[in-house]
Amino acid sequence: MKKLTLIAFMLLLGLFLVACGADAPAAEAPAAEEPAAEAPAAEEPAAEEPAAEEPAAEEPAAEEGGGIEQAQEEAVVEDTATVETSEYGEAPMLAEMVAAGSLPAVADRLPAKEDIQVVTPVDGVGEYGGTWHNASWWQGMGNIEMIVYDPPVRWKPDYTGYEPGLVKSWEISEDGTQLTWHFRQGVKWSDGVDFIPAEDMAYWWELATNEDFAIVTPPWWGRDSDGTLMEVSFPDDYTMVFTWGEPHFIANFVVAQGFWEWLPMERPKHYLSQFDPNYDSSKTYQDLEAAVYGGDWLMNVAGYPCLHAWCPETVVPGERTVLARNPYYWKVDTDGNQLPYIDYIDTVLLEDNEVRLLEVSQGKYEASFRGTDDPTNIPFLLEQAEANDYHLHAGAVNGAGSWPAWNINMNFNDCETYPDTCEEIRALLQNQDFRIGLALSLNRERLIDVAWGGIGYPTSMTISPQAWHFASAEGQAVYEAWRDSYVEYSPEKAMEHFDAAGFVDADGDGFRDLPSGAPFTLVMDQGDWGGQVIPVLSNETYSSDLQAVGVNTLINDLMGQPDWTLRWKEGKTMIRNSHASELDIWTYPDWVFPLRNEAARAWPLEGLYYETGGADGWEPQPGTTYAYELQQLYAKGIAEPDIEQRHKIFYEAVQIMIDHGPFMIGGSGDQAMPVVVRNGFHGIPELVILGPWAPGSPGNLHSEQFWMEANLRGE
Amino acid sequence: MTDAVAIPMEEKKKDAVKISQSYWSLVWWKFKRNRLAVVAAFILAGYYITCLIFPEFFAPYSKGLESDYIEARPTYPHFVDAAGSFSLRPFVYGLDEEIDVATRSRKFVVNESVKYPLYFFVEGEPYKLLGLIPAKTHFFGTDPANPDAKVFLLGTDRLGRDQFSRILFGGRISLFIGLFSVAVFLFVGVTLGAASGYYGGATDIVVMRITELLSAFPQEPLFLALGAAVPVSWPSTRVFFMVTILLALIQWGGLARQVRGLVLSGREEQYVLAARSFGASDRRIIFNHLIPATMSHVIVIATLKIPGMILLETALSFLGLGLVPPTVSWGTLLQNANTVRSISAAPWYLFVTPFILFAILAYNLLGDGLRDAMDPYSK
Repeated sequence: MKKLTLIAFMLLLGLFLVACGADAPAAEAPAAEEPAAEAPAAEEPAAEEPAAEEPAAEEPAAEEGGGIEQAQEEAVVEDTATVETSEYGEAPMLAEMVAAGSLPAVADRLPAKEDIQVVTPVDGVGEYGGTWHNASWWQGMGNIEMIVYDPPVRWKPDYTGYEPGLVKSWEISEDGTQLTWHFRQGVKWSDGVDFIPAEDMAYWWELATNEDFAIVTPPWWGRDSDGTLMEVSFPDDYTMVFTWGEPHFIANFVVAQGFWEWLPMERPKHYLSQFDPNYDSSKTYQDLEAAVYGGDWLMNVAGYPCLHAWCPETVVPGERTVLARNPYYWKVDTDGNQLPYIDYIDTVLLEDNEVRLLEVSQGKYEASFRGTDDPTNIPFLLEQAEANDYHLHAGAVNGAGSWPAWNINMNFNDCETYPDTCEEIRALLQNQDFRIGLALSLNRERLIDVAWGGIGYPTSMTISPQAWHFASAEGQAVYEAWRDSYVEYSPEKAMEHFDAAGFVDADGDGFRDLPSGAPFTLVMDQGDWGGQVIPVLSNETYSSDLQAVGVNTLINDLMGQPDWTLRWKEGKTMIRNSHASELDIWTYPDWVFPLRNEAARAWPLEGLYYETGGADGWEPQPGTTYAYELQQLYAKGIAEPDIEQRHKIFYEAVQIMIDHGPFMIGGSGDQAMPVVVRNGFHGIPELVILGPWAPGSPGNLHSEQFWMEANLRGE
Repeated sequence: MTDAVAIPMEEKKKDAVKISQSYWSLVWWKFKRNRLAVVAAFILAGYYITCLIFPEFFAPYSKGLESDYIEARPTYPHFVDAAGSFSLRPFVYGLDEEIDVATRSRKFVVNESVKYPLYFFVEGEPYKLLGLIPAKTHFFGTDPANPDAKVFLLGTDRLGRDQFSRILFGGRISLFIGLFSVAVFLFVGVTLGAASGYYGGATDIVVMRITELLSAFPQEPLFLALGAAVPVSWPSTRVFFMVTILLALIQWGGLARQVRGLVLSGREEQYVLAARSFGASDRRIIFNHLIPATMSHVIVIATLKIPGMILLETALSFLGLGLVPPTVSWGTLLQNANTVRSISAAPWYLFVTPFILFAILAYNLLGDGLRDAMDPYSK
């Protein structure tokens, strides 16, 4: 029976492949994305987060017309911007409904004046209307979730830090154990019911702590290092307080990462309690499970009330999702016009990369941020631009610190395959000379030629050059030192370092052997982290570079296979390809600080130790793999309330990466990204960073103020 | 009336010679008269010599040589240069790399001021002829003393490898797969078909039901399913033989049915009855009498089957489910052309297709010619 199922599955797979032509392993993985597991799934132990904290320094009072009043060091941040007018504008489609009596007047739909969020449009006050067409490659439609990114605390549009969103202000207590959110008052769900945090956020916490219902769980930042859960309380209807036993300076900012942190918390009680067996005994938890997401975030449940600019209206699973404007949206432009400008977001599901590329190149989507994310498609897209009336957004970049990059496993533990030599291989991988040799044997110019059409710059593995830690002059110097460490291409020096590591050709077969004389093959695991094409090309060039200096290599193609992750988690990988990008190391520490198993970039088993509080994995030892030192620095960082000081602690960690590295090998640096924008689509600021999903682009750019000229609105 | 019987002895002798022509010489005689089939046979001979037997010699570079010319356009041989002067020795122009950072495009443009003459029988990369004899002479190439001189008749791929050379090496695999899988196909199909037809009864029922089951499946998806079951960790040579055998195992059903039909009628023939009454064993009857009687039919089927196998391998490898890189076959070479980007930036990836096309066409013409020739008594 099992075999029959297997064969049936393979037949289906076969038909699917025939239907969609090219290779389509893991249709999901977009080139420039972090692997899905990295972001939402990973549960972080606890003990984390520093934050903006300085003894209760009060905000400098609101200025006229406002803006967000915030100094990075301060514990209290408030959005004080207000709009002059009290005559609010609204979309024609809503005005008609108001006229027909099916919708309250706009002033009644918006929050109180001081609680309305005012958004300054990038390209001036826009025009209402139109449908923004899009394509996604997976049912979860993460790229569309990013458009409606709207968490309580959000990334600034310029990526320099965080600002209030759904909360009007936040406060972090002096000791970092208490976070207070003051929500905007008078905000309504998209079905017109009041959003009362003391009801709705309390309902979320009720679901999260309900052990019978495992679909909604407490967030990973909600626990102390010993596993104790935080407390959530509501002093009044609009105030929410998180209390921990330890400092949690960063929790506030974690909520701003991508869609995966906030969306699970957005729980309309009046709607979901209809399906909750605790409120209606005729229901079961299966009903509730279907109602919360239909399995894949919120995009799959038509009619799910939301707080975003657009909410799901029509859902045809596997085909299409239409989001319609939220008539109760709580933001206005500087003229008092209720946002969003655009009426609908209509997204089709197109799994095949090439089909999507063709559709994008025909200008079918008014603005396509991730419709195609391979920079090497840019020349083709430019060729088609004039004929199809679009342009490529000039400032769109990936934000890659290194793309491709390679992660070295400092915790090699494959004693099954290598019963006699596993410890020797581990020692070799941990040997700094060996790692330097690996870094110096990569011909980055050739790599850039092959993978990127000759455009790019050599770099070692860093996080995104645009990361806010590097904004200052000092930060820039740190970044440059990191970028330029071990980045030279010198086969001669590489061979010297290999020799120094005792990694020489003992048996005269032309390949270097382990110090004991046992033959050695460097196994390079190959997965789709960084796309389906770039890893293949870069592994192939790197492999021949390594062979040229006497390192026998084997490319272990694990594209789309569970072994790719499994081998890493168990410490069986030697090196594997990756794509390095991160704007805020503290909300996603594992690029530098090994805190988790799968997420750790060079220390999976020492990360596991931290993740499980010492129950599993390897205990880090000082002066060995430097996992210990980095974990210590992380502990220091999260106990540091001042943001600037925290950046400095990160610089110390970078210094370890330079002095004792490389732990990861960098290839080529940042790349432009193809963002195809029809002429007449407005509101996109210059800088757009699409590689890391954490900042929620393009949602953090305030996608609700994007607007289209009449030609694109079909008028 | 009687004078009509008087046929001169000479003519009788002639007739006798005519009559004593063997079947195979009649086939040969008829085949030779089919010009297209003869041309096809020569084309195939050319393919097999250049691709299957001596690609190392005919290709200017090895299949793995990575140059700095990445996705470089083809350099076509010229006899007349830009100034209009003629030289008997063909030459290619040099290529200059141009990168436009604004449009992210990289192009290789022809530099007409640099000319690299082409020579025959030049010294180049060393190789082993037929895997045995060390040699380094290549059929053609540029001056080995000048490291800048390169000739890419059909452009290069993303790792800077010469596509013309790779097409020759790819032909080795693709053409061989055609032959080898058809051999397996013949063996299985003829043996089972003959057994089924000769013994009848339970054997017949079982074999025929299996062939029906096989023919009930659409072929490509069935192959995809089986191909997906080949472990990814296998080395490429083992995958290659597995793929070859799979190709044959999916397709033998049709042949088995035809052989069964022929054997079924053949076993009732007088000569079989005679053999049996002399006490010949089943094996002797099948292999010495029945199967040879089906040969003319089988050879035609085999010839027409080879191109089908080549195409199937190409299609499956193109889809990523047959052979996979680094194995070079026509199918894996075509994979290069499966993205919008590559068609727009490097249309020369499509140069694989004429090679496939002419091989298939030649096989079909040859098969047609053989079919006519195998029935020399037809008009």
